[in-house]
Amino acid sequence: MWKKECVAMILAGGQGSRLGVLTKGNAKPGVPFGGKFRIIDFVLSNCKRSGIDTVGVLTQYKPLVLNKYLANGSPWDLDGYHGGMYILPPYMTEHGGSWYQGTADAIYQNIDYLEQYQPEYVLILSGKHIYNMDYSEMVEDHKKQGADITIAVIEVPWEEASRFGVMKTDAAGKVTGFEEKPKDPSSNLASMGIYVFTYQVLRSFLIDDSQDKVSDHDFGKNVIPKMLKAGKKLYAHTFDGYWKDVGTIESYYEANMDLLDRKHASALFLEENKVYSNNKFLPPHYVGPSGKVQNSIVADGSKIFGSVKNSIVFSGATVGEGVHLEDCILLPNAVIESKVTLKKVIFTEDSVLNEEDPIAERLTDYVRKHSSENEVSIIDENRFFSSKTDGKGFVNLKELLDIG
Amino acid sequence: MKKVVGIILNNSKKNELDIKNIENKGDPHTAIASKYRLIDFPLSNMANSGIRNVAVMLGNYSQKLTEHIGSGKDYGLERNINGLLYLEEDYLTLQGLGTPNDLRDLLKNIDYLTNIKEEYILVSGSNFVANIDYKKIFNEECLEDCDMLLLYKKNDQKLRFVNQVVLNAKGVFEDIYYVTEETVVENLFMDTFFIKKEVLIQMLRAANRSGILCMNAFLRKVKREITIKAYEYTEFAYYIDSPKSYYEANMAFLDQKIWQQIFNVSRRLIYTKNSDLPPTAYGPRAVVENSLLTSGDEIYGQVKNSVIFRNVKILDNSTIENCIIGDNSIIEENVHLKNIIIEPNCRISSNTTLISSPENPMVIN
Repeated sequence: MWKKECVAMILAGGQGSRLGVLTKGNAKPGVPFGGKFRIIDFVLSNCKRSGIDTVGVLTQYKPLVLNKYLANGSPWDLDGYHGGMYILPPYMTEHGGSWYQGTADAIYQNIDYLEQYQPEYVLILSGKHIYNMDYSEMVEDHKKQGADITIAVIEVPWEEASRFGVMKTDAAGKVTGFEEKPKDPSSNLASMGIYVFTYQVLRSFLIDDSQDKVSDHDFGKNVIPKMLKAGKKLYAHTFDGYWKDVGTIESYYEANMDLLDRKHASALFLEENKVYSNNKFLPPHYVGPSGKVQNSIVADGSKIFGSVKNSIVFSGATVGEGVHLEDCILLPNAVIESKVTLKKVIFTEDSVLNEEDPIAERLTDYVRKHSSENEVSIIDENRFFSSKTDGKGFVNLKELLDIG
Repeated sequence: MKKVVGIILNNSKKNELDIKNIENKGDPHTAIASKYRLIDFPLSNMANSGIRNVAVMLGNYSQKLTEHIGSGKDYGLERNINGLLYLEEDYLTLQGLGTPNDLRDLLKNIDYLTNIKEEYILVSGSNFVANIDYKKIFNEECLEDCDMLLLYKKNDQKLRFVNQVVLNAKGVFEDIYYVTEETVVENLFMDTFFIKKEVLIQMLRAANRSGILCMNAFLRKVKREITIKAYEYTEFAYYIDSPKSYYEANMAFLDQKIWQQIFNVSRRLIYTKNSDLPPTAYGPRAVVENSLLTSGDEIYGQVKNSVIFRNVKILDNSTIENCIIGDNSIIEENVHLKNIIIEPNCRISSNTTLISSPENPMVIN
């Protein structure tokens, strides 16, 4: 095995329960995003961009869609001879085995994987962020500072700082304090959940943390505060591009809609550092004689015969004649053929609204009546969800409209 | 299809005499239908038919072709055993001196052909846009007692430099001859045939001995000795060899029926090199009607009855009608185009108006 200077570990096992029905058959990193991508494309493309060719993807929750999508890593050029992309689910050992208990435990359980490469540095990444970033600059910073851990941070508006883990730093970027979701934030530098560790330090802290019975085995909550307390060298690396955590239905919706803004789109889709995806073999999309598309994003393989405004139409989706969509998201292969007029609705993957569908007639009125201005609705197989319930509680439209 | 090897010939230069002519639209790397190239069709058809051993004749465009096809990964033809292979053409055909149905290129590769273990060889050109199930044709027509099977289609395009298949009253193969005058060729040879390996080797050796390096002449001579069958292909297939046929074929894809026959056939997708561009972005004032668009496009103006290739920008207040806009082209503000083919990497500066006729579309490069 060739020694690697830096190995990346992507945490992709989370359920993403706040995405509700969007993750019903799929882990969060596998959720479709931005017309033709899946969320994990961004972090994998960043690895390619940064010249990191050895990547472990830690999976746990419903991994089948993700496994199939990631395949052998070749869409992201991660199918090399020396290194490549490896999917790392929990496994049994002679002492038994367990599920990944937290972010730190997931890495701890794969220490043998890291040992194979004897890396100098380990990059811990999350599979739920939308951004285009060169990690090699961060690793360089880490080396220059002689740090034990470097944490990527981004400046957020002060009023939002309390939603994040925030870092207090000195002038040189050295972290002097860390607060997880503070009520009264003393800094607006939010942790992006991206860490460069010096491997030997990481190793010893993980082994130590695994023995700690009261620990939640979480990087943000346990390991980083322990390192700060132990007087280790923590540095912050500031990123000033577009970055979004798509952990909730609202933020998922917002991040998709951000792409309609050319400023955000051009910060993500760089000409020389593309976002790669395993999304081949789709024919160009067709806008029919009755189609109308304004201020929207439309992916290949889709067909548009209706009117689409401020919306994202994903691969293979169909908008039938007489359909009016505004501020909507049609996930891959969603088909809407009955004449509905809808606003701020996400249609889930493969959901179908046929021309003869009995709910179609009254759907327009129902959605208008039951969703407010700043609320996103989700329609999935006749079930109607609202973002207010984190996409969990639902109304069965068929039953409701048949009765009422 | 374990019994079949595929070979894709490069027939382009035999259609147009001037190989440097930029308007030549029959080359295997000719871009079509927003994101494809002509070579994608025979390659995908062979791959989808389960042929795992495919050789591509390179010709004069080796760099463009190898860049596009690469290892064959996008077509599922990157294999440990067999897979994709490139062959070189004869130097005379490289200079454009070949004749139609020339055996020179195959003769040059006779060592490769002799060593093939498969029983049949499927030879194809790359001028046809079609989604062909070779497996079905082979299983139905070829397995028993057939030395050679020629594919032809009923045609209404006016063409020249193509081959006409002649059948007798019973529909049995009679002759194949080359057409030099522009005419409506009724039974158009699709440059595609299955042939038993031994028969091909025999044909090549005979050609080498006699110096008559033309398949047509050989077939005329041996048609009583071997079984030659002709198969009429009845699904959509369009022959591309000129700006006009190129224009018409692109426009044909705006017809949803034709579209379905080519791009929406279950288990028979057409593959191409992946570009990894973001999906199409439509601006607030975009108006798009009856058109094909693809990744990387940014549309702010009006587009009607047009085929837009990858990474094209059409800026505000511009109108595009009945046009084909090539890869990476930029149409600036206030441009009006009608019945125009814009080649890849063009920039049309603002306030330009260009109108030509659909019968004879203007090509801008």
